Amino acid sequence: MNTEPAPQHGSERSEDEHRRPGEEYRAGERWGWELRAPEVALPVPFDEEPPALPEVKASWTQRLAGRRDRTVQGWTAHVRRFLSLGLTGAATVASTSLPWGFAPWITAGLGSLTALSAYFAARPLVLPWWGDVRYRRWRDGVLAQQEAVAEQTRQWAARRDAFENELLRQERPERWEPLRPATSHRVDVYGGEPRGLEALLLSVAGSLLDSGAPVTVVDLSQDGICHALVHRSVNRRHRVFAASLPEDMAEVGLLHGLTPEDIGGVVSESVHLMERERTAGGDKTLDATLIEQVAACLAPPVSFRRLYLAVRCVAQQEGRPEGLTEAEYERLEELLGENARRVGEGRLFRLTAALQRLAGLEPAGEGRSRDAAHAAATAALQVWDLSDRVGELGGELLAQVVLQVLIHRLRHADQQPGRVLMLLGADRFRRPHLERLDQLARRRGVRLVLFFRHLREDAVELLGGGEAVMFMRLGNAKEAEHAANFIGKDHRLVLSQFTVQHSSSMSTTVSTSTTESVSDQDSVTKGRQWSWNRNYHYGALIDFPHDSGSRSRGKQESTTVSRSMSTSTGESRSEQQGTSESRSVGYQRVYEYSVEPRFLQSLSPTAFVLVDPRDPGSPRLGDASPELDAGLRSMAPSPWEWSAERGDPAVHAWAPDRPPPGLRPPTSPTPGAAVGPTPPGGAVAEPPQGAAPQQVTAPRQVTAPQQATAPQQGRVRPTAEHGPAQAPPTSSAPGE
Amino acid sequence: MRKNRRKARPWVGRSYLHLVFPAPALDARNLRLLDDTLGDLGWSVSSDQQTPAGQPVLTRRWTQGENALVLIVLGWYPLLVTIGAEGRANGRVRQAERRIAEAVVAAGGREVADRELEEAVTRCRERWPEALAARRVIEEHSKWLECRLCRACGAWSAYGALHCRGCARRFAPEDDAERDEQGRAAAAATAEAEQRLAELGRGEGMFPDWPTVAPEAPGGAVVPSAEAGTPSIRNALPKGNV
Repeated sequence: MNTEPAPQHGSERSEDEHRRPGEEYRAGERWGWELRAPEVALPVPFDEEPPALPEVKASWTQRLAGRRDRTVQGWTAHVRRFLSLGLTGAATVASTSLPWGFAPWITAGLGSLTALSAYFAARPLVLPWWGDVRYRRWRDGVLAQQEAVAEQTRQWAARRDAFENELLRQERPERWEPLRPATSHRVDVYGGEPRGLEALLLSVAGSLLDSGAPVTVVDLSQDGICHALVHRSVNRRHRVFAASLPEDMAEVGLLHGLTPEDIGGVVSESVHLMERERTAGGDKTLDATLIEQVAACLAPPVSFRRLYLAVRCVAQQEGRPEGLTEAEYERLEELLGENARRVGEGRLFRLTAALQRLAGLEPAGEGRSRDAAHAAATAALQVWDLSDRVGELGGELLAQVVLQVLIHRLRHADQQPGRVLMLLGADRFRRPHLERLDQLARRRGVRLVLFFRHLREDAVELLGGGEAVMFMRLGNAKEAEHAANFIGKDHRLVLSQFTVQHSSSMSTTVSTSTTESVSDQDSVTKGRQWSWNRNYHYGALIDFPHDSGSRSRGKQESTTVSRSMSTSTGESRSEQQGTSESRSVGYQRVYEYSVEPRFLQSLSPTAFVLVDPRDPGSPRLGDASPELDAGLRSMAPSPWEWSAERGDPAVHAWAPDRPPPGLRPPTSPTPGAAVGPTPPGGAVAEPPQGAAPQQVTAPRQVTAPQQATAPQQGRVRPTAEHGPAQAPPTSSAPGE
Repeated sequence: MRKNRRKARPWVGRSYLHLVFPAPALDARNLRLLDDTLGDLGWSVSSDQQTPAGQPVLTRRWTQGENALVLIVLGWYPLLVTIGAEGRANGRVRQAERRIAEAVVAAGGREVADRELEEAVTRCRERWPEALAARRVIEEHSKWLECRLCRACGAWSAYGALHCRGCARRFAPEDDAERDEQGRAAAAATAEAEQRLAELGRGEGMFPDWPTVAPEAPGGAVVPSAEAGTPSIRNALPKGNV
């Protein structure tokens, strides 16, 4: 851990004195990019009303129409009118030959009548002509009026266009914006795979380094996550101190600057952390005391090899080894009495075994050189990378030692505002030690970033202990559920029921009826008549009396027999058909995850969900893809500026003539990262003239969360602005 | 009898005609109808008839040899125009007018007699403020359909945005519910105004016998602008004066 004061930007410092220490580096901090929805301008109505059409007076058409209506049309009417004109004209001419004195008056009267007839005869023919003339005059007037209105309209349209253009200027399209936590303290990163973590580290550490913040990366993941960052930083001419453990343990000087008490604590804690099944107790204190006393017998520099030899001497396992001086050996010989040695013999053997493993990892040679110490103290980026070549036990022990060294160095360090300590592979550490590291980091003003590969065991207990939490892809269902639980739940309306009822009915009724009837009728009619009449006539003058009479007698009888038969057959058929369909949609208010576990499982490798209680917009979905970074930071200076051939010592404080120790170039260069083609000899090739970082023209072209459609109903969170690169199995947006 | 004769000769001896369209203004569709009708008879639009984009068409002139026909817009909501010969009307002009009248009537329009013109113009003028008021309602409510208000900071964001534009706050489900409620109310008010605008545009209430059937054409609230722009709420009135 670098104990040198962090570089200060003098001018910025004076301007930002009101800020917290280290805040000046936050301006350029960028953890990834967030796809922001397009911003629309508020549709404010244009206040000014458009000009209306000119007021048109068309009363003349009404009058003309009235006259035309009063004129009888048709050829017979024309014949009548001209006939009357002819008659009155002829009568007028004829009246001129009248001999009477008042004949002129008659002629005048007839002449007037003729003129009147002529008017009525000509009027139907004149009216259309007059109407046309009047129309053209009226139309010219309207056109003249409209010219003024057209000009007013042009001006009004220009004003409205200016107004709308002003509104349009407020609009912003869909875009990517840098994303960072609101907090400036601890951030825990969970999940992810090496490629995604590498992109995230490249984004956050790279941006912090570009802002001038000192960064320390302790990569214990054994995945080489920090390699791309180192190469990028070298290319960007940052001062880099990169060490691979255990090859560069001497240059790192893990025990350098530690007091015997610290060394005792480091070794005993590391040994006990390896023995998780053992409960902490007096053994740890005993171990720490033993190591402390042994280390006190040694003259600096203390290394694990010398410590191991010293413990062996104390345990009387061998005589004075070559690595110890005579004076040291004598002090060690006198350190423990026989009884004490017998009591602590068991612990001594355990410590010897652990120290032997550490000593085996430590390369033989001189201790930490002055150059290395200076390079570490002045480096903007300090990287400790635990190699993947180290064995499991040795690597675990070394990782524990590194953590303890970090804790003790922080304990002794001064205030280091703005410094960022990133610890990758924090899964292997126990919660109390990480909390201790966090506590010390807060006290020293160091920002701590912990990277957990998984969300389980102690990592679950640590969840939320810091300020912000970042989730990358969590493939394990249980881990994803832990994360979703942490992000929280909220109420929402979900479609819970969709019922479609379709019924149809058809009925057919057929009825047939046949009616037959037979009726017989017999009738017998009998009748007898008789009549008798007698007339008596009595005459006085010319007739004589007589009488006459007649008798008649009749008898008739009739018999009628009739039969009627009728048959009627009827058939009626009726059909009824009915169809009914009903649909019902039911919504239910549910309390569900804001971010579904499935969504966290299907995140793209470089995407993350940032949960920050201080951010009112939390949770946010971001992406640390290098392609995005390369495309969106087109304004940044080209990284292809450095060449090893220039031999600028400021570029690479540790080893100007060779790559950082222990760091292999990435097997597959990450697109957009500042590694690029490396020519033989390790020099970074100069790009062609005019070459610039490739601009990402459309956010959708990169491997990044995809934009979902803007929700008009309901709520989509958080995938309304982003979605996973791999679509979830169902069509519904994740998180819903 | 006399009435029947007039009906058989719609122009009744005059060389001009007045027409009303079931559309709020002289839009591209109606212009195309007129141009196509006259184009079939050999008439062409005068080259000087270039209306600036976004402004309403107030006049139109067609020529065929020495003959010329002039259209003038007399009213909006619905569109009321008069068409007449520029000079003396001859047989070709009368034939063209007759074809225009037939085409417009077939498209749902109506001829306006001389005696009805004064009243028609007056009604158009009376309906214009009503159309403006309806348009105003639509524009004022459009913000609730396109944007959402943050109760915390008062900033307006896009309707579907998850984060406030002003304070970057993430909208809560309660905010969404409030937004949806406002959106529903605005949509209802907008629909009502659009309905009224459509009625005004179709000419309902202008004449007792017209319009007889609702025209299929989008002659209502949503009017394609003169430059055949995309119909939208903001184009409820043509971009120019209408």
